[in-house]
Amino acid sequence: MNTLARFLWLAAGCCLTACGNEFLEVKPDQSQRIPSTIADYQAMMDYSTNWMNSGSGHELGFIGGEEFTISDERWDSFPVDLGGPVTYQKHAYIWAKDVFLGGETTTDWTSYTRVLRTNIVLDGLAAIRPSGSDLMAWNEARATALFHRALNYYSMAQLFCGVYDPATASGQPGMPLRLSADLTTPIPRSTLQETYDCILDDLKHASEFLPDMATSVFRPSKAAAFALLARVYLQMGEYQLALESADRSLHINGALLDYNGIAVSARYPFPVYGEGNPEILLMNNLTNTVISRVTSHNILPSLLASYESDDLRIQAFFYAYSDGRITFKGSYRGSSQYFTGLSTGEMYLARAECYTRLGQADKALADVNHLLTHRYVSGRYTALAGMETDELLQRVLLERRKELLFRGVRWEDLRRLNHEGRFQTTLERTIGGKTYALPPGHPNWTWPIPPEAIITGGYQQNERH
Amino acid sequence: MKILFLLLPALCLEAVYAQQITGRVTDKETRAPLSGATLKLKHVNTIHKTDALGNFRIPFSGGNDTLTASYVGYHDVRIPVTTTGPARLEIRMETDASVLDEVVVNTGYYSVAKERATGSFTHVSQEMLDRSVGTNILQRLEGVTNGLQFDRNQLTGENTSGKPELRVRGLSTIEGNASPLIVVDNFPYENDLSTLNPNDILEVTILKDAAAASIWGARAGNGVIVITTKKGTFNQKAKLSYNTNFNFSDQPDLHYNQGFLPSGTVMRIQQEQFERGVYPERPETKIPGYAELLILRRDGLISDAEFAAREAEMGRADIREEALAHLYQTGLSQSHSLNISGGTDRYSYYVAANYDKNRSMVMRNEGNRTSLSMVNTFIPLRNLKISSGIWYTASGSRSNGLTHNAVGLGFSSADPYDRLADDHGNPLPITQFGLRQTYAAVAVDNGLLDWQYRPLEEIALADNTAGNQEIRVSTDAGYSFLNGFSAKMVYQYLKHATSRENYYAPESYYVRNLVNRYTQPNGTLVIPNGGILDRSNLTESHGHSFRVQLNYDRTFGNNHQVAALVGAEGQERITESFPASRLYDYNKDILGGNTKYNYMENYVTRPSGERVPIHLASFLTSRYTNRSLSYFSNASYSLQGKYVVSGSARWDGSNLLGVKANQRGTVLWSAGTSWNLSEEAFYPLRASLPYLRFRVTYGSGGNIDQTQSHYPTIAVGRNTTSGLTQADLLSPGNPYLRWEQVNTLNTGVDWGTRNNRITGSIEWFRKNALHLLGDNLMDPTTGVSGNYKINYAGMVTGGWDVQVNTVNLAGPFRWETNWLVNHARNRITEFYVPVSKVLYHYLNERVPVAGRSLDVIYAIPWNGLRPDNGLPAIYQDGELTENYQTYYQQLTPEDLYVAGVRVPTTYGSVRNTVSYRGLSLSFVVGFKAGSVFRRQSIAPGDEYLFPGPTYHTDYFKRWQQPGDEQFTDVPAGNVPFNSYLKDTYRYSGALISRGDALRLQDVQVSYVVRSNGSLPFSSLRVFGYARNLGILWRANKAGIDPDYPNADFPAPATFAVGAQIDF
Repeated sequence: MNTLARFLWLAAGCCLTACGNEFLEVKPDQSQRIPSTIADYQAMMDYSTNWMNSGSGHELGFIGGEEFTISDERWDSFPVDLGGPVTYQKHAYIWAKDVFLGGETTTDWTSYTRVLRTNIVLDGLAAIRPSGSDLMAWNEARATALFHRALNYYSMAQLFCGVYDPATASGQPGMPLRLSADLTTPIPRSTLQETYDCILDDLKHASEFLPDMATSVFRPSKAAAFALLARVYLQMGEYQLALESADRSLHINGALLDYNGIAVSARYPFPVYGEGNPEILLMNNLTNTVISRVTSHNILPSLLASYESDDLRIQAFFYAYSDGRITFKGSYRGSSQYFTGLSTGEMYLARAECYTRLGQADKALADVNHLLTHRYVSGRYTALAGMETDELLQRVLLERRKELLFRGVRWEDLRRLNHEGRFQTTLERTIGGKTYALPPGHPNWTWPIPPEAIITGGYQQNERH
Repeated sequence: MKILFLLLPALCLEAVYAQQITGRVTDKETRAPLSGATLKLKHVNTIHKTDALGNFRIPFSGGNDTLTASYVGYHDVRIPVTTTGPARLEIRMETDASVLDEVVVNTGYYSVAKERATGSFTHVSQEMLDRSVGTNILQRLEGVTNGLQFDRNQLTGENTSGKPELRVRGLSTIEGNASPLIVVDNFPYENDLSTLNPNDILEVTILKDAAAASIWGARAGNGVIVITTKKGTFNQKAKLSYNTNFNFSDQPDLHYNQGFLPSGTVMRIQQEQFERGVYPERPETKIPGYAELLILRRDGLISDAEFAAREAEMGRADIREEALAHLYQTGLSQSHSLNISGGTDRYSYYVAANYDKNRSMVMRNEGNRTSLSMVNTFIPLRNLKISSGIWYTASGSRSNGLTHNAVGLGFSSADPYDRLADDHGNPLPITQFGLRQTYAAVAVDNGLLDWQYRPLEEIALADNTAGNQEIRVSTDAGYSFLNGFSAKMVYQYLKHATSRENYYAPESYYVRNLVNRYTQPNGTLVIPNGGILDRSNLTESHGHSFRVQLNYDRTFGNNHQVAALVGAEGQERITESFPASRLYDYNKDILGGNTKYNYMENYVTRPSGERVPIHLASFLTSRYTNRSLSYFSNASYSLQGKYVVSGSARWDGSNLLGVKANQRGTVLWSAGTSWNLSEEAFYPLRASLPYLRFRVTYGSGGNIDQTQSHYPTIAVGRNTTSGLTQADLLSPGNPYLRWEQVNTLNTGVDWGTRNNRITGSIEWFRKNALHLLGDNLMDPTTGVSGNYKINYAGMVTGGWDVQVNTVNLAGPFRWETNWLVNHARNRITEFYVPVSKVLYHYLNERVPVAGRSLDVIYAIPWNGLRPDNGLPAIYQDGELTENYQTYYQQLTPEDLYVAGVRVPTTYGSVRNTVSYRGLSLSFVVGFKAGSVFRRQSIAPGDEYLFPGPTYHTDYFKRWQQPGDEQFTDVPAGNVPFNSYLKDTYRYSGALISRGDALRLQDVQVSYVVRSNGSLPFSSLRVFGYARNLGILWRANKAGIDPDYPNADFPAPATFAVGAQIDF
């Protein structure tokens, strides 16, 4: 009855005195608000499993990378209508000229929704003048947003832009760089140089203000920021800088999971969402891309054949179906979804590659051996030694394939190595007796921008044939 | 209070006169007081009105004069008066049969005689509501309501009795809520109308144009349906009325659905699939029963003879027949209603109790509804009327049955040869998606529980209940003062609660499946083999509504009548939902269960080995508060009963999130005028056409979308995985947002011929919707996805409403015909943002394109089948080609053609009523025209998709050999599945059918016996009513009911008998 009395007084008062604004001031939904505090902005960046750390922009590279094949039957019966048009995945699988039909609801370009969130957070934080005690939280929230913005621009640049080359980057199209939450300003594609500059800027800022280690695998840390920097520099061919970044990341966290200590034969041997896995620097995952679902893909036979018999990863990573297919089960996400985050294992291999390229073979060998002792059956690993630079580099690159599979990393490696020219690969896939190929230097190594963006944004489309 | 008494006489201006005539005006038959009756003395040029009790007091200067009493719908009464006449006059007025059709429409704010209103109203009387049978009031409006359209395009599957989308005079919004505002008594009603018992409803008024609806302001853009409930009558002795009916509904026509192939055909398809090695033989994949049989033979596990016998048995089976025998029944809903009403001169009451019980056509599904109501009205003082009512409804339902579609438990339904029971009626298992039958069958041997799903056992075990309760309390007080003023205050409280509870018995498949899935590799159980009790989120809403209103209603002299009102109202509605719960190991007898489990642990599950945590009931809570505040006014002036002008204005505000304070509200207005030509002295047609009136109105209504915001908005919650507080971005904010507005121009003419033999109205309207909100086709690079609307379009909806009532035969044998013809067509007039160029959007969604209707269906041009291979003929650059992929990928929206519109542009009904003494027969024939729909069919290879094949009876119409293309459009089946070929066919003109149809909507027979005193009741009415009797004619040749183009079957026919007895 109390509420009734209150309501009546309020209503009568308002009706008669026209002080309606007070009556209409109440929030319609208790849980909804206009973001205004540092905590609000931090919470927006912690929208982890649903957005910020999920559905990462690695899909086209994942499909176009060589790590799995699908059968003719699966190809024929695809797509089954599972909500939303997914035929583009078929086109991506054979690197067709046109990929998107239009109308696709979620694509790698959707990473821009995460960019928008980071921009709202950055604009919002810019309007707050933090007092002394808030400064740390303000810095961390801002650094988190910068990290995510860099991560998304970097991932998209690996799909929608050409390979970075310092000689040509200023003349090549990059990503449209949206750096504020204003939706109305049209922004054309930047140059590739500007795109990488922006990524590096954001990451350098982030690495300065993030905590060394994060309290949650969903939050970026200094270790994660340096790890991503290492990835970016490696892609740019800046091996010295990549080495420094990987080194700084490993310095903060160099822990490895000994596969001898886990039940490698389990259907999913790694903990769900990486809980307790010391290698994970940042959790991120690709939402189950329909065409590569575990129920339909086959591991590329040559990849499978590259593991030695004492390698625990054979058991930890692969699952044999009764119909004879071998599929991937070793996601650090701990489920049928694919892990696309950052790990210490990647950092050991990145550092090893840089050491090799910079002529420090013994240090490279130490990194590779350190990693592989955690991957092989105890006591059965024969440490590598005395390899020549070229041989060692090939071995390190092979170890990258074996360690970082089904993470979207292979696509990035293929692009930079093909560009470099020393370790070129032509991708091939056969469907219904017809073989499709993607040779080095082919324009289709850069994916097309979705037609909606071209139509409404007027961007220059990537040239393909 | 005493002060009030003392003040009252002082306020009465009449008191200054020395002499006066007093008296009362009542209905001659019922003795009910006639409030608002007009009294006029011949020699004195003033007009007076009776008060709420029918009393009047007129100053009289003496001499001889004549007093004329008049009241709408009654014969005038003239009485000579003198100073020496009786102290108090009792004037009894007799109803005038010729003007019995006089209709008073109620807008929720005021009542007005339809003949004096300028706006467009449709009034549905109690008689018309009682004509049909049905537990939902909306059902009773179909086919008898001018300008109200029922659209069932969106009803899919077996939901044919689901809620239709209502359109009052077409569309006036694109993305917003297109359904009309529903008002019960005084305030908007937000709950499902199925809560209201139609027996409690007195009448329904539809407000169609701006003059009628703008009093409801910002939410009236789609029209308003005003429902008025019953009240008691003054000066009436207690009247008891009992009403009952039994309504039987047919079993559904499962054979109607064309998405089906007979057992033999499906088995042949599956054999081909099996021979091609399509079925992966692993535990987590469902393999069709016939393929399993083939596997058994291949592996030598059954003899050829047994194989043949089981194959023959499968070939004979038909899941539809099984379903009809075991899942469906004749539905029966029964309704009982008892009410007592009556009153004295200062008090009236209405008390009613209703009970409905509904046995669904799906076995073990049932529902019931009990409602009680009581309305009391008091007149404690001469000028004060207080009314108070309480309405209570409790309804409950059990949904334990299974439908034909649900038998397969989701994704892929059962095969046509699957059986639900053996010849002795014992339940048989059906293979489940995600589980191979051979794996499930040996579960017990593997130390698990029986893992087979037997639908008929599940029906018997199911115990799913839901309930909802509503209580509505309303009080209003009206006080009239001075001359013509009255003040009114109304308050309403409404509480609504819904709950749902599912109990899964330990023996149920649900529990067995869960236990088995979570049985660990070492055999330990995670989930105990006990019952499970789920309670879903209890939701409750509380609403308070309050209104104050000042009315002024006065007639000056002979010629001027003014009616005006101003007022304000506020509403608050709070909707809360509370955490759900799940109890494992629930024991029904001791009402005990357990929640102590580790919900964080990811357990290995069978058969796939995926690690998943156990299900935790949703502990989400929410609390929404909607508040609105409005100021309104309305006025009309009538001159000599010939000319009326009216106008209204209203300000509406609501507590929208994320808007600037000055953008919380909007102002809406209307103006109208009418001219009663037949009252003019020069009117030449008085003899043949005694009533002729013209009206014009113009004004605005609105529409709001509460999901949109000027500033960025977020929803804060907790992430169950990370444990951190997280916030989702709901809207990035749109600083240019404004309210939608609908400007309506309405013109109409009403006429009546002599003795009202032919009456009717023709109305022409044009609704101009501005600033319509819609999903902008944003550049995805902005990061905006979904839910971002801008004011992006304008739309015009124009049309006609024609109503003609003819009395073909008058006299004891009476024959009347009522024609309703409605036409409404919408067109996007402007579109400020880039139009989609994506083919998929045009074929699957609604794309607003300037110059076209929003309801457009697009199709790919159809050139017939090729004579050489029976595949669709397609041309690229003028050349016949076979490359469907390049053809389809290069199609642009410009290549599509407009096949028609989705919703009929013309609709209506013809109702014929013949009556002789107490016997009456009427039937409604409804028609719809001007729409098209897209049929389903079968594309090459559709039947071979695994999982999820598509079956359709068009399979048998497939092109077989050259020459067939002259008889069929169904492509040949002998090519592999190709999604581009499929899309080229399924979106083509070949599958577009016209939706025009003529249907026998219902038939009603009734017989009324009126007692002359010798019978124990005053009247008895018995009736029979049949509905959904089928299609008389349809334009499409495919045998599809265009009203339900996407449903598995049309709504089954219903047959009702009933009686009403008044004592």
